[in-house]
Amino acid sequence: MNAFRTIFKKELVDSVRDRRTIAMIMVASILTGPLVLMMLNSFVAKLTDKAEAKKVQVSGMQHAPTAINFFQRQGAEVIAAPDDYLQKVKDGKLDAVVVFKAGFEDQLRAGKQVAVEMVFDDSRSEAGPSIGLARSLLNGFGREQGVLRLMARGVSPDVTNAVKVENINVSTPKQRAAMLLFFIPMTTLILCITGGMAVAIDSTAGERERGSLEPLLLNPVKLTELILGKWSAVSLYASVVVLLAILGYVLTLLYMPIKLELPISFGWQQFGLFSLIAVPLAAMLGAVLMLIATFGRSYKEAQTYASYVITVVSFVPAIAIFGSVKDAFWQLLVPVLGANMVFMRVLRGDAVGLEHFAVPLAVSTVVTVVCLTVISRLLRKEEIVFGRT
Amino acid sequence: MIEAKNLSKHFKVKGKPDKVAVADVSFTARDGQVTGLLGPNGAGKTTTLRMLSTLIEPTGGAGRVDGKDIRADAMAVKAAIGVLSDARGLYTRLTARENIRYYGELRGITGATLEARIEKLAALIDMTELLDRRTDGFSQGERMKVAIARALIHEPKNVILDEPTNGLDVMTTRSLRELIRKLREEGKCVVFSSHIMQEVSALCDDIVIVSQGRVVAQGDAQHLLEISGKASLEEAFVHLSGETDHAPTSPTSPTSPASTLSPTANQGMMQ
Repeated sequence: MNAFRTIFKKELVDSVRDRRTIAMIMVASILTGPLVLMMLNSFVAKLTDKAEAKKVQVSGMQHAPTAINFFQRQGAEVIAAPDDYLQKVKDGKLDAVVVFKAGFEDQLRAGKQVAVEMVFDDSRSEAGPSIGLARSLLNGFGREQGVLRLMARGVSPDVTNAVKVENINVSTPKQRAAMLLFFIPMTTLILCITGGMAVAIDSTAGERERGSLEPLLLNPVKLTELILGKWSAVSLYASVVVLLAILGYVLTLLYMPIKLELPISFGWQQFGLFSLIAVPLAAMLGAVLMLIATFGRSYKEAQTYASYVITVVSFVPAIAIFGSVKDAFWQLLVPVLGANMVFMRVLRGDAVGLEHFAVPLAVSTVVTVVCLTVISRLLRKEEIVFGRT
Repeated sequence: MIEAKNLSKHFKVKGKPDKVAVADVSFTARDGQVTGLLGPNGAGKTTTLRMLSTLIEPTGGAGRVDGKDIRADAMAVKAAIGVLSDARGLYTRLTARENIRYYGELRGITGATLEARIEKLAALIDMTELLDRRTDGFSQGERMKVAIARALIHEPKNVILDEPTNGLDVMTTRSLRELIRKLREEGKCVVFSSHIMQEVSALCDDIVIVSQGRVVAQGDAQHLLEISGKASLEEAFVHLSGETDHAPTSPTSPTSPASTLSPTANQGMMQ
């Protein structure tokens, strides 16, 4: 095992001297937590502000006094929209505008169906609450008018309202904000890769490129020891970086002087749970990176291959959220996806059991062993050892 | 002692017949002698040396280093040889000393013994002032010195040098020659490959001429002159290796040397 220690130590020393890369990775990992949280926080704060303010922009107020009266009775603040509201909505300066045309009141009184326009841009997600408010006010007004018309004819309102919907929303504030929380697993997963990337590439494709692989293999060292030494260095870097990032989240939440709008708990307990998933994953991804980088004849070529892995991994959390993948046991069997699921459960405060940690650990171990075995096969191949650019 | 017996190596090429890099190479390199593998580029010298240093599995034949089989006992062979390979990349973020120390530690040498050996080797090949500089930006000669030092850090009994003088200036080449002589004096078995006649004739006790993957002649300079019937070694080399097309200096036009000389060459090899 002496050779193992020698190789591990050499790879560490060698990579630590690559100051620029190391500094960049470390700074990125430390800053991730504060930056992501601040971004999420301000986003959520804006959403809640808008929802709480209950402001509705109206154009042509004078045409619809009854409706305005209804809006105000619902506790909404009615604001006259500027004349160029269409442009303002397009520019994203207004979220939603209710437009009453001339003659609205007369038609209403005549018992006719009256058209009301709503102008909005639903591609901006932060406009959602304002659009929802305007829509529910209009619906409410329509319903009230309908009921009044029926009653005037001596018909019970229940005739049309066969079904009465009572909203019982069981999602806790935590769960609603959790849609956005996928940023946290995403950044954590990406940093699992980037931390070890430089060392993984340098110790494989880098050795090939600079022509140091052939002389290295001339030493009477078992390939297993050689590969384990290199992989340990890669894993150590990846783990340190991802742990720093998780620590960044915890410290931001514990000590930053910002009022937290995000209803999540991310303390020391969550740090521990995250680490249990992140460290084996970082070690596994290190092995994966080393494997694909071994095919690279140069550092650059290997970097291209590595960027594919990063892309795939970073899409996993978004796919899980937007593809509405339900939490299930099978996810634990898929590398990265399983980790993402457990991260989300921990963040949402859902129950996590032994299987949530044991299964990803076992999967990571299997993948790691397979990757390292394949690497040792590759290093016996002439085209890998001697095939240089 | 390094022995090669009917070594051959075929490389698989997709959609084509196998490429024969080494067809049939046999020679014996004795302790206390410098054996030169002489041949034109592409003759199979590097592949032969890679097989002997266990990096490439031979397709056929056998090789032995100090009696240990290169296939069955690869680790022991690696421990018994020091190789300056065709590729001699260094770790540029490490100093020369750290590069050499890495190889020393990989071979199980540590502590004061290792440090003393580094100093000794550095003094021997005139690189003491380079030791604590990072190898980034080293000249080719300086890189070569570090590569040689790390290949010899375990004081191997057998030394294989693959085209050691490639790209070196006159001064470095001279000091390398001195080093090779010194290794011979110490009783080591030195094998080195080259495509430069003068270099081989200046250094080698035994010359093995390789052409198109086969040994076409073996012996000392005198012997080679005799069997080729030429006046100078250079002409003998050109004649023996059958490289008439690339030798404008050759005044004669030899006819199919490999076939006529093969029996003689084999006799020389068997001794």
